[in-house]
Amino acid sequence: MERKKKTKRKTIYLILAGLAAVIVLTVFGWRMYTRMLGGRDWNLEEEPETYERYYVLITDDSSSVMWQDIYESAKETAKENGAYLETLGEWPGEEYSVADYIRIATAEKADGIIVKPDGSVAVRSAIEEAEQAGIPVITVLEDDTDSSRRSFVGVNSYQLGNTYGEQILRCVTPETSRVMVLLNRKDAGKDLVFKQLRSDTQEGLGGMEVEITSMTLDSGSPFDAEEAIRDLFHDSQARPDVLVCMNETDSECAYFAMVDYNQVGTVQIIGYYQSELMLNAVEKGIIPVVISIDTDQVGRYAVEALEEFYQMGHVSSYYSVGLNVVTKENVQEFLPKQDAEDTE
Amino acid sequence: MKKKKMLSWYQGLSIQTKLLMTFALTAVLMFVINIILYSEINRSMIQLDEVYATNVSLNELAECLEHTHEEVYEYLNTKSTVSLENYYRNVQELKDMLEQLNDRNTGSQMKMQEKNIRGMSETYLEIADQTVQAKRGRNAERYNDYYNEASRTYKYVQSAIYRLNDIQFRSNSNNYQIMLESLQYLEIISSAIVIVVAVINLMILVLLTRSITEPLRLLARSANEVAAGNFEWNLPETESRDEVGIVTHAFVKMVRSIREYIQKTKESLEKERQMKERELLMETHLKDAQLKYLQAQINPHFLFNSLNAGAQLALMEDAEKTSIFIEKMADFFRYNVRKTEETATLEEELEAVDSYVYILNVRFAGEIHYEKEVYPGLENLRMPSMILQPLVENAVNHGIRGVEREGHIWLTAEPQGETVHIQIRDNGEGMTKERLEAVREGQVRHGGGQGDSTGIGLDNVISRLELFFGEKDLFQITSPGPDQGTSVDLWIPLKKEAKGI
Repeated sequence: MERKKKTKRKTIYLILAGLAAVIVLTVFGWRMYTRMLGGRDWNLEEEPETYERYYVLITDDSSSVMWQDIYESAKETAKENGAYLETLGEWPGEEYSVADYIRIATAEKADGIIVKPDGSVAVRSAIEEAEQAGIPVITVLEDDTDSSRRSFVGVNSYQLGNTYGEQILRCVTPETSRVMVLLNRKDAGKDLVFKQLRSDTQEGLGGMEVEITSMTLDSGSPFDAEEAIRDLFHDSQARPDVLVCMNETDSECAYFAMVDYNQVGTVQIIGYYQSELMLNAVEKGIIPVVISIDTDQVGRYAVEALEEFYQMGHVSSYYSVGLNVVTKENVQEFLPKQDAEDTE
Repeated sequence: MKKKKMLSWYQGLSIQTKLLMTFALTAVLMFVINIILYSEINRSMIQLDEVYATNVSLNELAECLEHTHEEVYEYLNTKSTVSLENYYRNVQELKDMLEQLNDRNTGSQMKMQEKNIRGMSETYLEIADQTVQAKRGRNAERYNDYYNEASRTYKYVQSAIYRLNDIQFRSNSNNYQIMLESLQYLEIISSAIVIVVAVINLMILVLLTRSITEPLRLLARSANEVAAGNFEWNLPETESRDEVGIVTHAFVKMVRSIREYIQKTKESLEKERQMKERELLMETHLKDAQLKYLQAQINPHFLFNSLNAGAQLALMEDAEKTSIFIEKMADFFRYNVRKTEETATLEEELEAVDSYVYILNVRFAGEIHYEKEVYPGLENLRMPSMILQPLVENAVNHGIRGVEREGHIWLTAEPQGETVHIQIRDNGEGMTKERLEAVREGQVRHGGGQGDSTGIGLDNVISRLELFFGEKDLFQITSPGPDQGTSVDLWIPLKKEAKGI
């Protein structure tokens, strides 16, 4: 009888413990559940922060590291000034040109457009339309002085040519006989840069016999530039001693071609833009120097120009941006912090 | 107190109600848990629905925009009033839809895209309006330009809608993923809860069904034991008042009465057995007495027939005293032979004593002075035979025979309460305390074995008396001290006199 009572009491305790477990399980599970849902990006923001103005950054290659850096900096600056900035470009399923994107931004009634013009008439007229609709346009990296853009943020071609010239001179050795400069058809100020570069280099060379030539890459179809650069390395007659690149993609193409054709040390590449790949190459001594525009300044100045326009009603027509020259000596400053720690 | 009340209430329920309650309780528990879980899953589903609902409205917008643009084209093409009407209706519809889109600059990419679509659509509507106005004004060149612009903007808007759809799809895929994960998580949690609840249910079921079946089990076991004849088995106890409780109570009651009945039967059997035993003992003692007597007398019939012949011879020779003596002798032996198997009356016993004393007085020349005093009416008192003579014989042999002075023996019989008190007293040797004690404890055998005795011992007398009346303490032997005589007291129960053999 006593034993029976004991087992009965035990069963009752077990039931109570079970009920407690259910409650705990429910409460704990529920908390975990809500926390799990809360911790995730639902994209269902009830009240996202609002901004006064809306700026558009139109790029021709939004996947490039340089543009991403510019976008980050511009977005940050815009946010500080109560504006929302978005990149516009490469919409899925459509082959829109820069001019189309400017028109889209105009139709969207954006409060400001930041664009890198390609010097075409279409872009110029699109900028015209935007300005007519009362939308200020800021050009970056490349200028289109014939358009009615409000301001330009970038390096002037003269300065850029100078810097390139200096670096070419550093790479020139007594064996150097040929310097090749890769130009892009889309780049508006390419001729000016080349002109300045060549005169500076020739001046610095003194009496040395060095052939300075340019090659204009026509990126009419997507992969033309890459093929042309490979051809340079493939043909030993055409192969230059110093190869000067003027954009990020060309630099990377040249780098991979040089490595693939086993020309490291034979061909000196002057790269453009401090992407991680380029910086690593400089660190290892594969590439002697990388010239890079200060993208942080580009983004910031562009947004500041727009802000200035809205505050003052006018804006200065040129913002000069600094250039970074990355060599093996100072590459550590540009390498991402994490990388620097790893190499230690 | 409340708990006790509850328990009492529960115990009072019938088995059917108990079972129903058990199942209902577990079912309700499962039901509640399921409801909670399902409502939660349902909520998640609704959330998922809402996530996709945004896509639907975007598609409607795109469709409406398409219709509007078609109507513009149709109007430009045919200038039909129907298409103009349709155009205006579509424009209104489109405007209503655009009203629902976000028009603020926000940090959300989707909201911004909504705003852009709204802005672009509005731009489109403006251009479309200008196109229609130009058509009305029949300005062919201008409406052509406007139409081209409108078409371009229309394309942009459609692209933007497509893009927003794309963004939303990606985001929703992400949301869907989260939802899926959360559902899976919910599934695990709910499975765990359901399992725990099921276990609890099981335990409750076990507990409740046990409370129902346990008394039944105990009852069955007890019934088995009782059926096997084990009445000493612990009877089941139950507080429940359901059907099993009632049966158990009835069973317990039945077994208890059976036990009582068995007890009573046992007791009466025991009594019967004791009586039989006593009878047997009595018979044994009698047989013993008889045997001793026969051993001593060899053939009493021959003896007392011879004695009768001797008595007649003495009469013929005029020896009257001798004749009386021999006659007394014959009487005494006849009594002995006849009466040892039966009961006798007090009178017959006293006659036997008289004969015995007479014989002794002849043998010892009148040395024994025997006096008796019997309360009138006691003559027919029934008692075992051969009781008083051995006692008188003892008084002679161990009392007065050894003394110099005149030996006296007194026999008295008188009623005393519900008994008749018979006392045989002598003035003989008496006894020391030690001897008295030894006699009382039966260590000294009086009478038996001595050549000058009728052969019946004191213990035989006592045993027969006690067996005959079924009582103890009917006999007492006392003596004031050595040389001061001995007294033997008998108490014959009046009512139990007929109980004898």
